[in-house]
Amino acid sequence: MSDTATKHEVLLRVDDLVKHFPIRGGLFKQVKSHVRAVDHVSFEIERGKVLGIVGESGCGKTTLGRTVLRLTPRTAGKVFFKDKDIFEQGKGNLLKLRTKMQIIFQDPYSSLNPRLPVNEIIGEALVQHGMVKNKSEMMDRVIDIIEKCGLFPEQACRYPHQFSGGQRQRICIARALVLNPEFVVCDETVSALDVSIQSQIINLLKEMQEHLGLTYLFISHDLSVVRFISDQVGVMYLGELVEYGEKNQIFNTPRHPYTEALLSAAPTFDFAELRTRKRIILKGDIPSPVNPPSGCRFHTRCPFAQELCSIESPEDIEVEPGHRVRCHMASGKISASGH
Amino acid sequence: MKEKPILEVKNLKTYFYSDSGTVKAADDVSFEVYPEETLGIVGESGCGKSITCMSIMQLIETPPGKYEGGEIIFDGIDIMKASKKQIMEIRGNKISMIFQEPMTSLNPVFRVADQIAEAIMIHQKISKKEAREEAVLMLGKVGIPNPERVAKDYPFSLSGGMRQRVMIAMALACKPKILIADEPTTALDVTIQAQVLQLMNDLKKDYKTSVIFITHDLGVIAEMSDRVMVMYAGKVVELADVEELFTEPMHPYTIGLMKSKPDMKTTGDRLTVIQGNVPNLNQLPTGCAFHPRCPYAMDICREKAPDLRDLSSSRKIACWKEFQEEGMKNE
Repeated sequence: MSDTATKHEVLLRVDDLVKHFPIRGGLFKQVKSHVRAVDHVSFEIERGKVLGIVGESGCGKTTLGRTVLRLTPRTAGKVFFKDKDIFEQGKGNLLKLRTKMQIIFQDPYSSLNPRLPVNEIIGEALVQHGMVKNKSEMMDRVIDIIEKCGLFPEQACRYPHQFSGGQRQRICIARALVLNPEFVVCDETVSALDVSIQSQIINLLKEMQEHLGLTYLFISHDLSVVRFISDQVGVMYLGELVEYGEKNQIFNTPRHPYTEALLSAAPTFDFAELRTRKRIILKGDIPSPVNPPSGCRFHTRCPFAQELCSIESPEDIEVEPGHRVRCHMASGKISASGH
Repeated sequence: MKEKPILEVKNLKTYFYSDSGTVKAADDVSFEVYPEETLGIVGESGCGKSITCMSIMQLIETPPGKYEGGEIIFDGIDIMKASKKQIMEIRGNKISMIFQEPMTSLNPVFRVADQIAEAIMIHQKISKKEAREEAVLMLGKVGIPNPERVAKDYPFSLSGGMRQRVMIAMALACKPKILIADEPTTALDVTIQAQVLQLMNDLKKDYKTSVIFITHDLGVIAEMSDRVMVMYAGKVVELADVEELFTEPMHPYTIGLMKSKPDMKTTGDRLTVIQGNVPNLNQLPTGCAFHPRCPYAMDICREKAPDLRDLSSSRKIACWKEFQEEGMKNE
């Protein structure tokens, strides 16, 4: 964080970001409670790096991706993109920033307008942002990007229904990249695809990242995919970032019991690993983010939970450089042997 | 040698007819299921894994679907030729099925216990009260905490994992000989998936049930199955014991699938990919359906589809590469 060591430029800095959704009901639709989708999350991504966010459904990873792009208002906290707080920008500035920050969604079927041909789907943003002067220039840019994304120029005039799922995801990627963004949120981008297509799209994302120097926030529930593509990894549970670190720190020496359980539960077809692996099966369901458990949110399912865990929420502790954990065991307040 | 199979599927052909052509969803599919084993069926979308199992249950809507041939022998009965009454006797009783999305398979307007009790009462002559008691007992067996209370709940108030447990309770209530599980954990989170998989393995042992486990997830297949069948474009391409298949895959498609999925050890910059797309089932390539994507494709692959043949006592494969090599060795 010190200024002397900033050889690497921090492209995105998320500072204590909070996003609560109000739940309204009853007479006059008063706010009854909140869904705490993202609760005090902080991290940084350096230019050209990939931060993978893993977690199960309802952990807030999608909301995090959307809030970081200001696609939804925040409740509290700050998001800096190249030292500009994106929530403090006026409409004009925001529009300019938007060309630099893009998102690719999970479902390539619902995220493409079925009534528009591919060239218009991709070119729309170019026209919108005044980045091209005329139609022929737009077509040039569109054809250039779809070729880079592994489609053929003659496919530019076809409609989304004429493409397979994998090809549609290529269109979504082309649409996001045509504006020359610097930062892209990939929200479960490969989750809906078949295995053989998934690997093609992962390779494409990596290629694009290297050629264009992109920075990704890669959101996925698939640990093996996140491990493959990321530099840093954040693990979310019920709105909180419970562990954050370099990929190898998270996958080789996880410190949070939830991360350990996630890793041990991930199915594998590696028989050598299957034989040696110690499987941790968590008890119970994921609690609702409307009414998260007191203290440490994971204590209801944690095999090491002690009294303190249900009372006091653990702080974010740096256990080794770049490796942060929210757990009383990591901070030494309780010990695993006490169980 | 192995025991007698309890289910034999021989040359099953289930086709669908539409304006845009004939879709051979399951084309000449043959396999056996042995007592107390788990047979995993793996493949990508549209490979025919679900259609094969829906055919066993005779759940294909006709039209547009049509059974174009084959036999499904269970308990000495050919299900394909069985009477409606015989099928009712088997379906949900001796062979039962659980699906991917438990919410769409449960009736939203009936209480959980009543739905399980209904399944029991169809097949057994017991009173409604006894059936309900049995239902609560089943809920307990599938690890639902506080089964008496949950029995009175409606499906919407349960989580995805709990709903899938209810489905399993319903499927096992009549103590079936075969349980067909069609992507039972695909919609679930990893930690919940681990719970449900463990439960299924425990119950399988308790009930001495054979399981046909369908999924696209290679990891889940490896952990659950005794034998694995790989399908591609409506055909079985490889069938082998689980460890043999995963440690030494032989069909180019199986090899490609396993390489393209990153695992916890994958290193390097790029994943190995299978080129091209899964073919459209109504415009299948000639010969072996995999040849346009296959790195080993030869002339014969473009002309003639290979049959599924024995490579060893524990492995079957449909690939010209293997048999060409064998042919050369013999010469």
